Amino acid sequence: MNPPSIRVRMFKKLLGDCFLITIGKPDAPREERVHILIDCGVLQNVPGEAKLIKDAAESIIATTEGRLDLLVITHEHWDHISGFSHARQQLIDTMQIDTLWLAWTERRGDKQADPLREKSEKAKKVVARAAAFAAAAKVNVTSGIEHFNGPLAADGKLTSLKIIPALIARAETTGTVEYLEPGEVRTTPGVYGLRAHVLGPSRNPDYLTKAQPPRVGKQTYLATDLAAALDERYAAADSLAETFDPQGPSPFAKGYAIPAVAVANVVDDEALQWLWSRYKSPPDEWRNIDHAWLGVAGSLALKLDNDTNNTSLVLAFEIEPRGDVLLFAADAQVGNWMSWHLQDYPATGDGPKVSAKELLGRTVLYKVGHHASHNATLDNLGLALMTHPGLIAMIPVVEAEARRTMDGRAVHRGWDMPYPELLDRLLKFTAGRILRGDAEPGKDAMGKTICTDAAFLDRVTPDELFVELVVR
Amino acid sequence: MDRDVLDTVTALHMRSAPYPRPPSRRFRVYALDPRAALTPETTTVNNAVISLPWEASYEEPLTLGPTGEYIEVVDFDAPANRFYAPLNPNHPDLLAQDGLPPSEGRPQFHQQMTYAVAMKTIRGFERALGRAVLWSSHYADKNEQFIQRLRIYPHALAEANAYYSPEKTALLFGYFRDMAAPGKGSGGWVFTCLSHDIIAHETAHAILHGMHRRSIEEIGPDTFAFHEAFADIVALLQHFTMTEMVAHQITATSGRLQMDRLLSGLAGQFGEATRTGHSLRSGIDREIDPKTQKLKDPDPTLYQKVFEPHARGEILVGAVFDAFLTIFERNTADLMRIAIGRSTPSGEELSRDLVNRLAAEAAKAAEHVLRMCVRGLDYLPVTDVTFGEYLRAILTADRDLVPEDARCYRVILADAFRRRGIYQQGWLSMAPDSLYWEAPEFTLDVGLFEDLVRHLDLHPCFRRSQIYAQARENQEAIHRWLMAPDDLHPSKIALWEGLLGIKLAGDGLASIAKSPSYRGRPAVEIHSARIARRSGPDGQESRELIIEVTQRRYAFDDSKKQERADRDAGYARKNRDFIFRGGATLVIDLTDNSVRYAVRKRIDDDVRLDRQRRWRNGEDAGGLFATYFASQALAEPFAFAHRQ
Repeated sequence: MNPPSIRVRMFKKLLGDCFLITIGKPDAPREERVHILIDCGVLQNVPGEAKLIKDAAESIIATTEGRLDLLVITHEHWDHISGFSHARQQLIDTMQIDTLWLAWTERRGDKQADPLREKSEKAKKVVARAAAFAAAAKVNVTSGIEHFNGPLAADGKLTSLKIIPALIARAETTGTVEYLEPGEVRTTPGVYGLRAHVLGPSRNPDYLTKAQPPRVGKQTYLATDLAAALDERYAAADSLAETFDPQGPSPFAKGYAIPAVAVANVVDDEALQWLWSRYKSPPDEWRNIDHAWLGVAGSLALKLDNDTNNTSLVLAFEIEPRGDVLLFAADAQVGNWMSWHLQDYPATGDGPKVSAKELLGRTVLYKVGHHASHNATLDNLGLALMTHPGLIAMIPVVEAEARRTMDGRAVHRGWDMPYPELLDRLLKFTAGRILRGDAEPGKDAMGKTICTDAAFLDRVTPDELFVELVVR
Repeated sequence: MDRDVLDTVTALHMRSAPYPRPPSRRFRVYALDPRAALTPETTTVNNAVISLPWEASYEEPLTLGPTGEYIEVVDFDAPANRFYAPLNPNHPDLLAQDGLPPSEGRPQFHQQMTYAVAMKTIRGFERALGRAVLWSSHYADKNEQFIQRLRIYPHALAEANAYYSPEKTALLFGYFRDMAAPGKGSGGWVFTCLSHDIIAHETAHAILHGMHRRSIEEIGPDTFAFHEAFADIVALLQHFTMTEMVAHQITATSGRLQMDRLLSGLAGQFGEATRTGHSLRSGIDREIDPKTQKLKDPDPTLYQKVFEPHARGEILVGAVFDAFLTIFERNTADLMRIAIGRSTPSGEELSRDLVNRLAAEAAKAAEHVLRMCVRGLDYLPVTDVTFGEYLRAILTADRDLVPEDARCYRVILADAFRRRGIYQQGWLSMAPDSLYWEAPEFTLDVGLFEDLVRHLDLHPCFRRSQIYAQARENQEAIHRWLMAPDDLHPSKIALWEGLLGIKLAGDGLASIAKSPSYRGRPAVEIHSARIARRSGPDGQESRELIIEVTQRRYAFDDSKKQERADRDAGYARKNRDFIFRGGATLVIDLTDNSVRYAVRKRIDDDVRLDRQRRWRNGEDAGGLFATYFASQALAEPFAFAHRQ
């Protein structure tokens, strides 16, 4: 049955994802509508974060009347799930969740998912500790990206580690939980169903964890053991953890150690005096290395960020068989994108299988990862293949929150978001049909007009809290 | 009659003549690393003694630390927030037994080993180059400050990493737990400061940066790869100075060095402990064909495809090591014919005498190749060095030192590069004759540089601080001479601009940075001025003056903006995306003050600018790393290189 109307609502002003899809006429009774919520989060330390997301939660409850046909959680980053902590009452405790979709990476008891979660949790804790230590010493080693993992202790609210289990528990009481594998096609629940192609995340460690995965098309075998690959990748976490442990092992016997505080200008101890003259007395202080060892936390944080992004659940919703596609790619990085092309997807009836390239060619709505990092590979395998003349992009970014200014000085975090080259490409491909979390429809973040396509602007309803696009 | 000898009056006063200065200091070290002490094959040769020349009268004496003329070791264990007592290298007990015995558990031995291996690397470099090593200077409040000593922190990091910090002019070494599978590893501590290779590698980075301060600016695919490759080459060739180890391996492989993995591999313990299972990197970039027992041909397409710095650097290392092996084989062919009747061995046991001779030949070949590689550094272009240009520099420098290439070393090296696809567009062929740098194409007035040389102070200095001061003064004198306003005749200006590849008049590209002291004119920097040796046609040693002249231009990612900037100086300065450099390396023969070579990278070369622009925005330029860590990476470029 063809759905009469499809709308996609993007909540604004969040440096995070929160998308509500409504299928069916908005003024029809609840049983004749389908509501799909994809993520609900705002980044840590965004000013007024709690209120922003609570307002969004209220809007969701009002529209869905307290019931979601489908809730999709793409991955564990705080800016995709923090809404469930800030607005726990509304979104978990009293929400009727008919179906919860998660990637296989969240399944408890899965032979690959369990070590993946366990090892990355351990590494994230160490990174958080290192970042806190560095912050106390006024040194920046992680550029703030550990905030994507959420707070470790949240004064009674749910921490990031607890949110998904809480959602699973709730969904199991009110409905069902399903764990999706790449290559599957599932129909969304409710009175109107859309065919959802599961593009990622891949079970192949090469595409899950490597920053530079092997080229698609080469023979790849599941030869690398994921647990071993992760041990090697997060090896620095073990060294760091041992360093932070005051009872931790030391390579030298105690007799050799001279505590830093003991080094002073002691006249009758040649060794102490010499050390003091070399390390603690000016003018050579610029050569000191007090915090250089923390630098490894930065690269570890980056690896974790990349890997968690790569566990993103990527869904391509087909509006009708062989028709237009809505692509929700969460924050998938290179490995995830490349893995979409490793398999083909079943079509309706007995037709030939569909390739990822074909799905991308039919994409009319592309939810851009707000990390908006860009390189040639992502472009070749992604944006360059989105050839639909009516392509629209949604970017849930708040540039002022993220950016650095043109002359190099950091404003809030010093993050390059959205990446300028990516934005230019998007503007070209969509002919200006971009909806941003920090701009009016048809305008950019500075207020400059970028699109005057009346047919497009007519389909967009702006609001204080969100912008809603009528897809059909 | 020799009155002094028989004069008993004088003889009485000579009762307490000063003892002769010792020729050398000896320090015990690991030849490779502590792990090699665990296997029966290598344990006998793993302990080596490094013999360093005793401090000369113009050098700082060696004291607590160890602290000397070039190096100071400060043992601050930063992760654990504690210090270890400094070693006193002059303690009589230590002088009597060649320093502390090798020990992983005593931090003072770590200090001793890092000092000794770093000094050995420096001395070897100085011998190859023919002059003293200077460290990169420190910039504090726009003043350039001479840095006497490179600082070494043997226990600076708690990770599997070691790096040279250009910012601090220091080497930072890490320590970590052995992560290898239970069968192989020990679960114990691995110290990068006890790896002979890693110490030599990091010291080489520091030395190269000291010679070429801008070699760490990432401009193209070859920049970092060159730094990594050079450091690997130095570390690898240094293996062959350890004659006992070399003799041991020659015996084990029956003289076929191409089959040896120990001497051709780098950082074995580090590689094994971090789960790669074998050496971190290797000088041999190809497999041995089991049928012919010879090395297969290298893959010439890699240079076009591989861009990660260490992997790309391996191609260059492979080429140099290939040349070394070939030179070794050719130089020992006659010995083999005498001993076993064939030019190449095929697995039989060799006699002790033959092995010793082969080891000596290997050491000589390694020293020779190192000298070629090191002297090439003097003839590099001022910016954006590519592997092909390095080859040209090596060949030119070698010809200047050894005009007749009787043993065909230059041909061998050029061939090794050719077989790896390292060449550039526009090269007619890979024969050395067509690869030497050329003399400037226009004839220059003979007296052109005579006037300049008169203004310079060229007398030999020995104290490194004096060498540095003299070079700075000469740089300033050259700058004044070059910018002198009396030579503003248009034809003269055109001549200089053509010779140096820069703009001197104020009416050129507006995007070139302006001079703060000469109003309206483009800024010109005399980046360095140094003296190098060469041998004259009659075998005499003569000297050359090598000057690097550079200029900066504000550059843009968008070519339209670049066009605007080329006309509007204010716009260029305020909005630039990156800096584009140009200039020339001038080699002036001091016997007749003629310009032998002018290696130019023109400031108005828009093709090269576009290439740099495309590299900046290319395949690996984006990604999360660029999003979050761009400014940090600029501060410590080598730290991140090993952490990916």
